[in-house]
Amino acid sequence: MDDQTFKVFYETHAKPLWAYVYRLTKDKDLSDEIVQESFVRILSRDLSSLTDVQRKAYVYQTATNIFKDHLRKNKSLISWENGTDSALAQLPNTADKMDFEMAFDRLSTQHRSLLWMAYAENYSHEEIAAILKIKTTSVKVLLFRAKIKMIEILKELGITEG
Amino acid sequence: MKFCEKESALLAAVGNGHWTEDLRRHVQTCESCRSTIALLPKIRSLAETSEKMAVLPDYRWVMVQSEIYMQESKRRFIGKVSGFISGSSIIAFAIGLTWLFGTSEFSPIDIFTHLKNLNWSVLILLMILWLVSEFQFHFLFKPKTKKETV
Repeated sequence: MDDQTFKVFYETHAKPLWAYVYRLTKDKDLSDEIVQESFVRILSRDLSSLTDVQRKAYVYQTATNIFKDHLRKNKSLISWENGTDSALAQLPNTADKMDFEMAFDRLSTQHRSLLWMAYAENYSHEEIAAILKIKTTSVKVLLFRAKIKMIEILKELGITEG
Repeated sequence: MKFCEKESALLAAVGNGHWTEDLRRHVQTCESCRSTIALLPKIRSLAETSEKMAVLPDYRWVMVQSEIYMQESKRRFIGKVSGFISGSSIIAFAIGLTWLFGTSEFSPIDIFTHLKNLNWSVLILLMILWLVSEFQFHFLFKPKTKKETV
């Protein structure tokens, strides 16, 4: 990737990617690290044959994998599929203090990732399946479950959906 | 709430703005799709808020980091190859010595006896042979130091 192409690619996608990673990690420093490493890896590979959309999917996939590795290496209490951040789960259950962001953070990491890619990034189910390395049919089901869970949390916290 | 097969079409319509009449009618009657429509702006608003928090380095800094990463990858690779060659050379050296001096007084098989008896002439000879065998490869495949690569 030449300098100019990378500059455009980085300036277009770095912030949305950081937002995605931050929603997963809830840690600014770790998000910085993961985003930078993802772009470094992009540069170290020959992706000249890929389109911008494919490169974007690649960088999201790389960031997700780096975060999963981080969870594994640190034997984190938060697991990708099931766990929620225990610290967040223990937040006071008062509706006035809670907002949508806190409700979103109560979801499992996998659910946050799915909802973010589908709703914030507008990725198709096929693209999400490729990024998370799961089947397209699984994406549909998991995304539906994530949505149900999100609605349940919103109801539990007394925050209206609409 | 039931799983809706049209969720994918709905998200595509939101993305590209191409709403069919059929899809519009469906959304009005489908609870799952209506909840999607309700959640979408909230998650997008959260995305915008999160993006504003990002403080990222200039793209040139990332390019420099990438250069360092690639050089370190090369260094690690050369280190692995060098290690493999060093290991192989030690094994080859041991086999060669055993083959050449296996039955003589310089036999490396009796290394512990030589050590026990402090048989310096044999020990020094073995040491010199080992150094010659090992270090020729070490200098041939000497990996660059981090300082040199940077």
